[in-house]
Formats: sequence, structure tokens, C-alpha cells
Amino acid sequence: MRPSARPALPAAILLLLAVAAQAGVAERTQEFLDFGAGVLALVSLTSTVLWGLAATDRRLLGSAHRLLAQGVHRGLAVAGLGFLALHIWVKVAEDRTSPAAAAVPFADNGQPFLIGLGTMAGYLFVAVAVSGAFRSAFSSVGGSRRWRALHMAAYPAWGAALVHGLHAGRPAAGWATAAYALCLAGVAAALTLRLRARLREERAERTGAGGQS
Amino acid sequence: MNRTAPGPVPSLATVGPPRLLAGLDETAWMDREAHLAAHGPAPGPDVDELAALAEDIGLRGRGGAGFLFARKLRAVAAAQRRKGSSASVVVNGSEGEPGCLKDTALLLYAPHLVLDGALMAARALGADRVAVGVTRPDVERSVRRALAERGPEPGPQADVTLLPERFVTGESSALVRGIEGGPALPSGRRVRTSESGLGGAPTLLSNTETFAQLAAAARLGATGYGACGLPTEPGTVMLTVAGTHVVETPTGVPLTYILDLCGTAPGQGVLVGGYHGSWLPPEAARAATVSRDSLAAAGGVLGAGAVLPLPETTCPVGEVVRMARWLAAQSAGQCGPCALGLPSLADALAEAADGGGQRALDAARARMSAVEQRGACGHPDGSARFVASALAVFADEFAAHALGHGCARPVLGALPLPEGELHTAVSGARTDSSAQAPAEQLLVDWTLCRGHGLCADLLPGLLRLGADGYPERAVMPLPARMRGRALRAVRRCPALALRIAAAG
Repeated sequence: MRPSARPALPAAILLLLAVAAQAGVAERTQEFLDFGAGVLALVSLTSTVLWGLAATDRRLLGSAHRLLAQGVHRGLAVAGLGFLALHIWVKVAEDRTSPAAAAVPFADNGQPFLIGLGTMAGYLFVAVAVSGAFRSAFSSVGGSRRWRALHMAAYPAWGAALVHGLHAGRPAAGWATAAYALCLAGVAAALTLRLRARLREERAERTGAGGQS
Repeated sequence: MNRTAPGPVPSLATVGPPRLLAGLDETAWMDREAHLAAHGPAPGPDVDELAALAEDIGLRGRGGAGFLFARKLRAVAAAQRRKGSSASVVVNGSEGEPGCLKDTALLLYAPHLVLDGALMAARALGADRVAVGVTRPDVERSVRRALAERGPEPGPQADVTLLPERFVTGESSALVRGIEGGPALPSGRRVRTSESGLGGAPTLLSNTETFAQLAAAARLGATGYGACGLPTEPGTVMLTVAGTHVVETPTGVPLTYILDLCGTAPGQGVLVGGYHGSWLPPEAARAATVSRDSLAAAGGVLGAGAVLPLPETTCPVGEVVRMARWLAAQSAGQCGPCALGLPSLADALAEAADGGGQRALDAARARMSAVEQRGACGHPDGSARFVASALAVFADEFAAHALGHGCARPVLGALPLPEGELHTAVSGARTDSSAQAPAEQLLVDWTLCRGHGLCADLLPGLLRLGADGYPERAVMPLPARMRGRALRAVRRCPALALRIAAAG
């Protein structure tokens, strides 16, 4: 078995088609892309965060499942960044914001804060993706810690993207907001559990070491 | 450290005229004046002369691994030339081994001789720093006092660092990290200190006695140095007998003579080479002489010169279990196979001792082989070696205990248990042996590996997991056709514990 990004790609395309069909892409591609690209970017990147977190679990998943989850995580990340590029291009082309405001955070005339959050999230996501792509360069003692810190930037980026995505454009549907809130709660719970396990481990180590010195 | 007493105080003895311990019959601490009176001024050989001298007298590291000093010195000089950088000298005074006190004795009573040797090597290399790593406050004070006596001198500057006292502190990478102010724990990287040590510079790291022997040899010359001892292993060695007596003896003296001198006897067996060493049965101990060759022929190792006879009155099985527990507790806890494996090995031994039957003995053997070659330092290997030789030498005793007969003797704690010693440059030696056909190898950093096991799924032909879920081996030759998949395993490892490196 050679898990890779392959299962993720058809999934992303299906997702695109589903949302596209519902939006009536046949009539107005431009109109669809106006909000669809952003929605897809947010959905993909949210899923990326969820799958990435899921891939670290070792209680429920076997190693083969974890490799599959890693593959999905990577594929969704690529798709998400693609949609993100499309989203920015469409918004600038439609003159919803200026190229300068898209590049420099908090420089938009109309909604400096909300657009700025999107810009910030974009930069962070790109940095996180680069750290993921060049992961093997970090395989050393200090390196693994550095990589973790860098990749962890995905969480603030995702938070910023959520605020931007749910408030900067059309008002979001109630079910969509609820679904994102559920994701947020899930991720927060998973991270808390992980942090607690880490703290417990460290405490055990400290008392273990203290007992014999 | 919580301990109030700095540790056991060594009592000194010599066989024949003292060499490293010269002058200590007249004074308790060799100050600069006494040192110069006993030994004369230190010569200043260049690096080639020093290497030639070390080669002529066959000087080997006296910390346990017995690496040829001349080769180490030349390796540092070569790395220095290649990198065009400065170099450092590190004196390993962290005598972690409970059965060893000879380095402590040297630094405690004759620190100037050790400093002479280290500074001589540093001047020969053009190094700018000599760092002495110690683990006892009284030893630190003695070295500081000696350094203060010397005052500011041109050339390399010497300093001393007090490190936490534990078994693995003496491992070369742990010592270097500790002196640099980091945690004194072995690093998972297999980089030789001669290549990259203190501050990343090529570093000559050797044991305290090695530098003292070097200082003595530089004054005596190869011929004078060989005036005592065996022709194959000239000069003297420092032994620690029963954990308290430090004896300087020429090589070739019968082991029983040394034991007699210290008021003890081979008893039920003699542990040589410390707690990473092996047991000699009584008859082998009676036939052995103090030399690397003789002890190796008897199935032992000279190592760092610890000689620990086991008295007749104590239960050998109980003593071994006690030691195995201590060795398990000394794991730094960085590497899974060691941190989990050594306690479970000790448990299996304890079960066998309590009448656990053949099953418990088999379990102990299985767990013993499960820790071999699976740590960032030699601690798991050394511990396995100790247990293996105990199971062989005390086979009857273990069998009787496992069957529930026991021996009705109490466990006296005859083996001293303060702290442990270095087992040294294992990493360097091991990379040498695996430098074969493939140009690259896949390395596991045990300090990072958490046994996720994804690598085994990605590299079925190359990497297998042990029963505990960690990779079976740390170094795997990597054929070119496997490189792509190995790189994928490196990327996918959740702990980033895999690495591809050039072989050799």
C-alpha cells in the first residue's frame, strides 16, 4: 500500500462539483467564483486542519490509517491553497479589494480588519504549507521542535480565516456557522487533551528524575 | 544535587614505584610545587611528536572503551585542518561508574598532572580551551584550586564545570552538551566528538587518567614509560578495587595479588570493567593478570579499571537484580527501548530470582537482547552485557532461584551503588562498522522516536519494529533504490526521528 495525496484529489473535485452544481455554475461562473472560491478554500483548509489533527492520533488509528490521513491532509492542503489563490485573484479582478490591500494586511479601505485577517491567514497558511513540504529538512533534535512550532501556526491562521470567511462577505448561513463552530470546538478539545497528556508526561519525568539525583 | 556527602573518599595504594600517584605518600594534595618536584616541568611536544609518543606506548582511553589515543589525536588534528577551525580539549572527569574512583582520586589529589596532560595536548593542537567536566563538588574544588595556583598563562585557557551525577553523564556527547550549558544527556546524533564537539569545533575528549598518563609519558619518554609493565601494554593502570581502593599497578601483575593487597579475594566471582563490564568466575579471576589481553581472554574487559569481587556471604542473584534495577533507574529516559526495556529486564530478573521458573529466565534473556544497539548511547548495550555475563557465570544460582530453591543467603549490597561511569564513544565505533556498500544510511534518533511505527509500513523491506513497537535497529544501510521510499518515511515520521545520512 502506498498512501499518497491521490484519494484527496478526487474528493476535492467532487466537493467542487457539488458546490458548483448547487450554485448553478452553468449560468454565472463569475458570480459563483466570487464567493465559491472563498468557501471552497475555507472548507478545504478547515478539513486540512481536521485531517492533520486526526493523523496524529494513535489510540484509534493504526499506522496504515494514519498514513492515509496524512495523505488526505496533504492533498486537502494543496487544494485549499489552490482555491485560496483563485479566491484572491477573483476578488482583486472584481475590484472588491485593491492588490495592495490583498498583499498588505489591514490596508483595505472598506473593511481593513476583516480583509486584513484574510491576508494574514493566507501568509500563515503558505508558511505552514512550506514547512510541511520541506518537512524532511527538519529531522534533527532542535529541528523537530522548530518544525512543530512553525506548523502550529496553522491554528491561528485557521482562526483568522474563519473570522474572515464568516464575516467579510455574505452573511453565513446558520448551519454553516454551526458546523464551523463544531469543528472549532472539536479541535480545541483535541488540543486540550494533547496538552494535558504532554504536561502529565513532563510532570512524571520531572518527579522520576528528581527521585534519583 | 541533594546529597550532602560528595561521595566515597578513595584510599590509595600502589604496586611498585608510584607514577601517577608519585608524591602522594608525602602530601595529601599535590600543590604546584609538590607536583613540579615530583614530576619536573612539562615538556611541549608538537602534535606529531605527541601522537608518535602515544602510539609508541600504545596509550588507550582509560574511560572504558579503550580507543587508541594517538588515533583520536590525529583525527582531531585532521578535522581541524579540514575545517580550518580552532579545537578544544575536554577532560572527562565525570566518573559515573559506582565501582570506579580512580579519576576522582587523580583530580582530587593530583589535579596538576591531569591538567598538564590536557594543556599539553591543547598546546600541541593549538586549541584555545581545555574544559574539565566533573560531577563531584569536592573534585570541582580541587581542580579550581589547581587552576588558581597556575594563574593566568598564555595559550589555552582551562575551566571546570560541575555536571549532574548520573551514569550517562560521561558519555561523550552528554559531557559536551553539559559543558556547553545544555542538558548533560547523550545526543541522538551520531557525530564523533573529534569531528564536532565543544561549540561545534573538533574536540579531543578523553578520560582523566588518559591525560595523566600522557603527562607522565611525555616526561619519561616511550622507553622510560615502558620500564614497567608488560611489553605489549607498557606502563601502569589505575584500578579501583571494591569501589574504595584506588591502586596504581604496572600491567601484568596477577589480579589476586591486587585483591590480596586490598584485603579481599575473588569470592564468588569478580566483576571487571564496572557495571557495563562482565563477571569473571573465581577460577578465571585467579588465573588473570592486570592487562587488557589477559582479561579479554578470560571473558572480561579492563574497561575503566573497576574490579569488584563478590564476597561468598552474599546472594549473587539478589545482587544482580539489585544492580539491574539500578541500571534501569540510570536510563536518562530519552530512548524508548532503554527506558522501557531496562525496567522490564530488571522485573524479569527479579521474577526469576523469586522462583519464576524457566519462563522468567527466558523472558529475561529475550528482554536483554531487545535493548541491544537501541539507544543514543551505550547504556542499554552495557547493561545487557552485564546481565548476560551474570546469567552465564551464575547460571546454577539463577537456575536454583528460578526453581524456587534459593540460597538462603542475604543480599548484602556488596556492590557499591553511588553513581556510574562512561561507556564512551560507542557511537563512533558503530558507524565505522556499518560503513559498507550503500553510500547512505537511514538513522533513527532514539531520543525523538516515540514508536509511532509508520516507518515500518512505508519501508517493509528495510525497517522492522521490535516487540516494543520501536524500530529494531538504529542504523540501516540504505540501498539507492530504496531512497525515495526512505525519504517518504523521513517526511511522514510524526516525531521527525528519521534521518538519511552519508554512510561512514
